[in-house]
Amino acid sequence: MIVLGIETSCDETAAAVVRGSESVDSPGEILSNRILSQIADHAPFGGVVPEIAARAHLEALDSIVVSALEEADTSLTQLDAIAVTTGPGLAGGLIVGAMTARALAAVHDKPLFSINHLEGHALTARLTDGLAFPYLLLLVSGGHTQILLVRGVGQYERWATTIDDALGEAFDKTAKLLGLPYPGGPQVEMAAKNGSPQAHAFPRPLSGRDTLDMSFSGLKTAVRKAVLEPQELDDNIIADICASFQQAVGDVLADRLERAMQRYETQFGAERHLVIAGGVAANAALRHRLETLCEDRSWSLCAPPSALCTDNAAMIAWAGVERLRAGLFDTDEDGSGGGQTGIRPRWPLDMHAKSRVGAGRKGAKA
Amino acid sequence: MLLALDTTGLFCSSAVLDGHSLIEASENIGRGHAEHLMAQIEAVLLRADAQWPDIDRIACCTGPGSFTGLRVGLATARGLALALNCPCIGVTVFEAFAFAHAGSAPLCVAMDAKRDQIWLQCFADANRSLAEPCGITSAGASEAVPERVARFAGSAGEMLATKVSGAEVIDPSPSPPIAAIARLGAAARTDLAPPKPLYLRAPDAKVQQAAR
Ligand SMILES: Nc1ncnc2c1ncn2[C@@H]1O[C@H](COP(=O)(O)OP(=O)(O)O)[C@@H](O)[C@H]1O
Repeated sequence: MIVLGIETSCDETAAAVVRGSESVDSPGEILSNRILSQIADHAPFGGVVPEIAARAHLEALDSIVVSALEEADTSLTQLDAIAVTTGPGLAGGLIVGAMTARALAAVHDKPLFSINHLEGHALTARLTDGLAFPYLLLLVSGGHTQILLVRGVGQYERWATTIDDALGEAFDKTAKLLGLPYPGGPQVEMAAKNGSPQAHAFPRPLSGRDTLDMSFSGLKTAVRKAVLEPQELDDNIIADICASFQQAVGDVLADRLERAMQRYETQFGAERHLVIAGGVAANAALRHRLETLCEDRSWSLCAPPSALCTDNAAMIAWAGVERLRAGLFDTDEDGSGGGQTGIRPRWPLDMHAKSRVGAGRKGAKA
Repeated sequence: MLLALDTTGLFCSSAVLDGHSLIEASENIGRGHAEHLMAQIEAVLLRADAQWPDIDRIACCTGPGSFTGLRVGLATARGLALALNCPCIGVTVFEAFAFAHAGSAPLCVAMDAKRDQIWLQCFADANRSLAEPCGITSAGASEAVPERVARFAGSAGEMLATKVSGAEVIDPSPSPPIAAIARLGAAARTDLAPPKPLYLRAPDAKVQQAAR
């Protein structure tokens, strides 16, 4: 089966074509994966500006879809379904994606799947590695910071979330305080390489507490203090702050994950798989930290390639494949809204989880 | 057959134009165009006894209007054009009003842009504009209207007409006539780039100051 995926929920306009086989735990094949990043459009504003994003999506989406189809050497007629991100995310972009997808699906009479962006991240390890359920997912991006139990297609339990900033947001804000360009994550990682992780004793919020939730705003405040102390920032000072920040983040993640792993082990025993996704998962230092953690507890770590960790449409197409082969079609009743636009700027993946105050840029809504 | 769409204002409208026969639907829904549009199009196709493959041209209103509204219409129009592999034509609100009220006397099309602003364009006749479309403050709007223009149309037409002596309001509709969008689309060249929204207003965003 071949599915076209469309993703416009944040600042990337993306379309991809993915092929899946009928058999349930076999990986997929990415036939094309087109992404147009708007980073340059938003850079002068130090963050994503929703109206600028929406305008850029409309401008680009149809030609991105054409190029994804061409690269996959396929056509709309040959598709088995179309999948589109309908939330969570910025309404303006979601509408562009949803209307485009509905137009394509209507004309060619294809099933249309309204996909939760987080489900795309949650299922990526099955696209790349055919990983069987269940597994634990750490999702750390600019908008989300969550630990999820993935039981099956459409079956997700949120075990933990941030109660304030998302982790990528914390990286970006740290970079901003240090005068590093946007997006800050990669800049902080690079600067950290030359610094001492022990230079600053930044807090490890909620560490040791009997909760799986995370908090990063205290860390940000501590970074601000450290930035204001010296007369002038030089490369060494910046490197030390970045290294110490990254160390603190690693400690917080490891502490939370270890608890989540314990909980998972008592429920599931032998099949121990941790998947990481989201832009921050591209951070090599953090990845290394998690590798060690997994080795120590005899878990396998699955880290999809960076291009599939950040926002992309292949994961949305893949979620469409999974839903198609599981027979989980859109209905109006469940609110995924096949007949309607069904855009849902706030859409928790785990519908039963209680929302937390704050909870990150998109977290509270997600 | 041509399919025309407009979601730029309070109305959600679609029409199928087949030669001279026009089947249209126009509903004053205020908001929720995204939820409404596809179902309305499919109903209009049914009434016109048309199937998707019969449509060989799309025309869509490009604004100005609600930013979300513009994008609902244009994303749909461009998606349909891609799916049908047919041309997609953009028609502005101003052009549609001007075409609908073609006459010998000059016309000013003025739309309420909220936030104390007006979008307007003046025409010598249906085919000749006197200036580019622009967005200006309500207070300064009457100065942007050349003296010989005395006919007004659009949602801000009445408001503006009160400031001009001898003015006549010929069509105060909050949305442009869908029939005009269809007919202008049918007459347009087809070798142009896909239509873009006419926002007439920059996004709200401040360029960041230096860090720290
Ligand atoms: N190497 C890195 N280290 C830390 N953070 C990173 C790295 N690369 C990217 N990021 C962060 O990831 C985020 C973007 O990830 P993405 O999955 O595209 O998220 P979203 O679309 O939710 O913003 C940004 O906040 C960025 O700073």
